Amino acid sequence: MSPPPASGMSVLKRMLWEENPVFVQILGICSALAVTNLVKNTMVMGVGLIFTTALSSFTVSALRSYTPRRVRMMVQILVIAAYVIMVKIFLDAFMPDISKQLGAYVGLIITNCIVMGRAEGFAASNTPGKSFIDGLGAGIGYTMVLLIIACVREPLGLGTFFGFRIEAIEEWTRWNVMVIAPGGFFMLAIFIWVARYVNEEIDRRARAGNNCDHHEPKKK
Amino acid sequence: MSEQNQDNPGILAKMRTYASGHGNPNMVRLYTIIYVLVITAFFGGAVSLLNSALIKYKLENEKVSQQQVILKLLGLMKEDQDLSAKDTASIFEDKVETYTVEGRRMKGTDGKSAEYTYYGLKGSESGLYVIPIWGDGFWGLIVGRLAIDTSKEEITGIDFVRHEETPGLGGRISDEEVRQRFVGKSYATKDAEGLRIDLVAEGTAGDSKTKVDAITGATGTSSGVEKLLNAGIDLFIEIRKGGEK
Repeated sequence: MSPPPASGMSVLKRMLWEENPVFVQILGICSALAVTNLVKNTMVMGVGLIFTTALSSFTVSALRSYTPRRVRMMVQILVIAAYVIMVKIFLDAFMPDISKQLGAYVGLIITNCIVMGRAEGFAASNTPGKSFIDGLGAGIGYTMVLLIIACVREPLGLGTFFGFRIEAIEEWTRWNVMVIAPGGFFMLAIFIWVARYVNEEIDRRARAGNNCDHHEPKKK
Repeated sequence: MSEQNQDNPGILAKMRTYASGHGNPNMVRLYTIIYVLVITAFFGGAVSLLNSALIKYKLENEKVSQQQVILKLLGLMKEDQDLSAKDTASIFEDKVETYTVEGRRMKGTDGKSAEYTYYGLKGSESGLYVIPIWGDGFWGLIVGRLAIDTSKEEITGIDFVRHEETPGLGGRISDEEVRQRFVGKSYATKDAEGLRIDLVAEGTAGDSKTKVDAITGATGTSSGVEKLLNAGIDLFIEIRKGGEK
């Protein structure tokens, strides 16, 4: 992992792309496969995760100097669980249908490695403000990838988008495989492949550019 | 926090020392215990507070979804129809007759004992009723609603409103496909074992009027459902014979 960046903007950018939790760190895959067959559910799940990572990172960071080292992980889990249960209570009260469809996955945000990873990996040793942005970035990075996958799976699998029928593909033959778990595996793998290819391409160009400008010897 | 910091610079500094594990070991232990207690009480309290503030919405949603289950079983609402809370309540009020039987108890969806209640169509002699069924599944209590046509002595629909069965195995009792297996079965007669409806190995029920395909891999759930289904129908027939119309 690269050293913690200095400014808030670079903290955010790092989590969105360079160290994106889903396609670089390969975390949070379970829910990424489970909820991405409907764009609407993905959106709600993403918002729930952004809320949880941002606020739990902030809280863990704010408490970091006063939390005894031996119990720090228990305290992190406690903080995360509290925020997740709040999300669950909120969904039960105001979005009962979505809450029912997401089922166990909202509760399982508690064990989502992204949240715990950011709390332990970043928030435990950085200021609350930066930790909040870091958590926010991790959440948005996760949501972004899930939304892209959902935007492919739902139209291909069900012929709808955000629950609305797409007129242009009225005669669409549904790809059932896109709705079930294997569709999630295929899409996620394809996405990681493309994202890594793009990443390498950017790196290669940057290196090639450097070589031309400074005539540095190529490191092996 | 900052105000406190100015008043007692010593306490926060001491807390930080204990948190990092330095100082008197007994004080460090004591600090750790107190810290965990305080933080647990704080976050636990915050969650409870939010829950008690929003629980009324959750209960209201549950009531609506219960009513919708009954409307669907009585054929007043389509399976994939979207109905607002207000419309649900008004259709329920207008078209559904609620019968409660004094002195008879049932298990409610919250798992608690409640007065035996069944539902029918208002001002109709169709003989269509939605009756409660409940009993133990593999993991816990199963509560369901069974729609029966008493003139034909047939099951017209079933839904499970509460269960804790394994998702993907016993949990499939809530799936549309599994629920459809019960539709059209006759409960008129009892077999040698005293069962009106028999759950048999998956794929062997065929066109039988009294046999229903069970779920392979969920024997515990299937036998539980068989038991509670028969018990529920028996009880309803007994209550109806008792003169309550």
